[in-house]
Amino acid sequence: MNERIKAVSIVMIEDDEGHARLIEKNIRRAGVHNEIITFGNGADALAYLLDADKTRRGPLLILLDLNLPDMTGIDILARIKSDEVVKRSPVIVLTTTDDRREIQKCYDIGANVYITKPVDYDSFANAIRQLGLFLSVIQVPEIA
Amino acid sequence: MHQTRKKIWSLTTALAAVGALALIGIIYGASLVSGRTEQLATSVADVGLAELKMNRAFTLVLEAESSQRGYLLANDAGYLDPFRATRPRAERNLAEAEAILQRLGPGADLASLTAVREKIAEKFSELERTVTLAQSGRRDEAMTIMRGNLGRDLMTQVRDLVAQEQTALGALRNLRLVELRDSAATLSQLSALGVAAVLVLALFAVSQLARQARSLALAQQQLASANDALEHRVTERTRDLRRANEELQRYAYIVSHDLRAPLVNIIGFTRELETAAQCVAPVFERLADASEEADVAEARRALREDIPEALKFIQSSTGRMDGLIAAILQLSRLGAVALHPEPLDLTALARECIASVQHRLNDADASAVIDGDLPALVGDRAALSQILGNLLDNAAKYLSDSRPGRIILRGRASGSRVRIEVEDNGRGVAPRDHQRIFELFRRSGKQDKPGDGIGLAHVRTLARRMGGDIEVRSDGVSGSVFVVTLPADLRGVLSAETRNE
Repeated sequence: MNERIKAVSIVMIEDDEGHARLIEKNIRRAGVHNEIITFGNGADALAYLLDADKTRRGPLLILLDLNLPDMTGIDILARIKSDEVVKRSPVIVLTTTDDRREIQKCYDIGANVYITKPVDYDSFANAIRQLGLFLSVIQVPEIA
Repeated sequence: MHQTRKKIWSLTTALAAVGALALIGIIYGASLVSGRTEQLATSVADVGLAELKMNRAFTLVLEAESSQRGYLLANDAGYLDPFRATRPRAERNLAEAEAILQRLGPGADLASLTAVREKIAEKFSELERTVTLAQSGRRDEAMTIMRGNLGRDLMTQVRDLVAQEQTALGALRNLRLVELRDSAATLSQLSALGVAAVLVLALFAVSQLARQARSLALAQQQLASANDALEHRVTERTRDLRRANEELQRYAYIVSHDLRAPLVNIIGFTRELETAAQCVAPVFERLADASEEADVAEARRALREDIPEALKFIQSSTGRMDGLIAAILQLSRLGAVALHPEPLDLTALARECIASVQHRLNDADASAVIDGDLPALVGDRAALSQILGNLLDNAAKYLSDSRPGRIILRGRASGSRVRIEVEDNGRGVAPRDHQRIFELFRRSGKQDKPGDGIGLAHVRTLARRMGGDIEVRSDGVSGSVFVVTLPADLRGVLSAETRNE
C-alpha cells in the first residue's frame, strides 16, 4: 500500500452506529487501515467537509448513507458535488435502498459508486470487504 | 317536486280531456241543429209545394166549370175532353198536397184540406151531373141546374175553403220559417263556439307544449349541472383515495425500510458474536482442559450449548423478520409498479403459466386445462402472468388428498371488463376466510404447507393496481374458484389515472 493512499481519510456519514461499526470492522478486515472519520448526521458531516480549512486537509473518500435523520443523503451529495474543492472527492453511496430511480438520481447528481447494503449479513460483510479492497487500489485526487 | 309535477300533469290531462269532450259535444250539437235546419228548410219548401198543388186543383175546378159552361152554352163536344181531364188532375194534385201535409206532421191541418177536397169533389159531381144530363139529351134540365144557385154557391164555398187553407198554410210556412231562422242562428252560434273551442284547445296545447319544453330544458340543465357536480365529486374522491393509497404505500415502504436498518445490526452483530464465540471456544477448551470444576463445567455448557442455541434462535427469527419485511416492501412496490399495456392473447399466456407450474402439477398428480378460449384483453403481461401463475401455484399446492387435482381456467368478456376464473377441486377456503386470505401474512386452513401468506396479497395488489379485483367462491370443502375481474383495456385505467393527477 503506497504512502499516498495511506494518507487518504475515509469520511463515513452514517446515522446508524451499528452499521458504522460493522462497516468499519469489515473494511479493516480487508486490510485497509486508513483513518475513518464517522459522522452520525448530515449537518456535522457538511460542517466538516465544507469547512474553511478544507484545502489544508489530506485527500478524502466519502462513504454516504442516504437515510439520515436531519437531511437526505441526496441533499448532502448535492452539496458536496456543488463545492468546487470537495466535489473531486469520490463519493460511495452505501445504503439499503435498491430503488432504481434513487440509484439513477444519485449517479445524476455525481455519486461515483452506488452500493446496496445486502441484508444478508454474509453478503454484507463480503461486499464491505470487497469495497475495502477497492479502496486500497483506488486513486484519490489531492486536495489543492 | 316529483309529486307536484305529477299533479300538474294530471290536471293538464283532465283539462285537455274536458276541452276535447266539450268540442265533441259542440260538434254533435251542431250536427243535430244542422239536421233540424235542413228538415225545417225542406218543410218550408213543402208547405209552399202543398199550397201550389191546392191552388192548381182550384184552378182546375175553375177550368172544369168554364168547360162545362162552354159545353152547355155552345153545345160543342170539343169542350168535353178538356172537361174530363180536369177532375183526375185536380184529384191527383190534392192527393199530392195531402201526402205532403201528412209528411209535415203536426201543425199541418189535414182536416181543412180534406174539407177542400170534399167540397171540390162535390163541385165536380155537380158539374158532371149537368154534363151527363146534357149528353143524354136533357140539356134544358142541365141548363136549369146551371142557372140555379147551387153551382155558384158550391163554387163560392170552394173558393172560401181554399182561401182559408191558403191562410192556414201561409201561417204554417211563416211558423216554420221562424223556426228555420232560429235553427240557422243556433247553428251559426254553435259553429262560432266550435271554432272558439278549437282555438282555445289549440292555444292550450301550444302553451302546454311550450311549458313542457321549458321544464324539460330546465330539467336537462339541472341534470347537466348535477352531473358536473357528481363528476367533480368523483374526481375529488378518486384523488383523495389515490393520495391515501400512495401515502399508505409510502408508509409501508418507510416502515419496511426503516425496520431493516436495526435488523441489519441485529443480524450483523449476531454474526460477529458467533464469530467471537467460535474464536473463544477452542481457546477455552484448550485452557480449561478437562477441568471438572463447577464453574468451568457451566462455562463449557454455555459455550457448547447455550450460546449456539441462542444464536440459532436469533438468526432464525431475524431471518423470518427479514422475509416479512421483504414481503411488505415488495407489496408496496407492486402497488406503485409501472404498468405496460399491450394487447394480449390470454389463452397463450395461460398456457405459458400452466407450463411454468407443470412440474408442481406433475408432482401432485394434478392437471390443469383451459376451458374454451379466454377473452383477449389489453393488459400488463408481467402482472397478468404473476397473477395467473400465483393462482395456479396455489391451486396445485392446496389440493385435496381424497381426489386427483383438477384445475380449470376459464374466462369471458362482459362489457368493458374481463372475468377470469381459476377453479380447483382442492381443499377449498372456509367462508370466514374469504376476505382474510387476500391480506398480507394471513393463511387459511391447516398450516401443513410451506408459505408466508404473501402470494394472494400480491395477486390482489396487482389486480387492484390494474383497476380490477379478485374474490374467492368456496364452500370450504369441495374446492374453490378464484375470480379475477379486470378492465378489458388497461389503457383506459392508466389514462384516467393520469387525468386525475
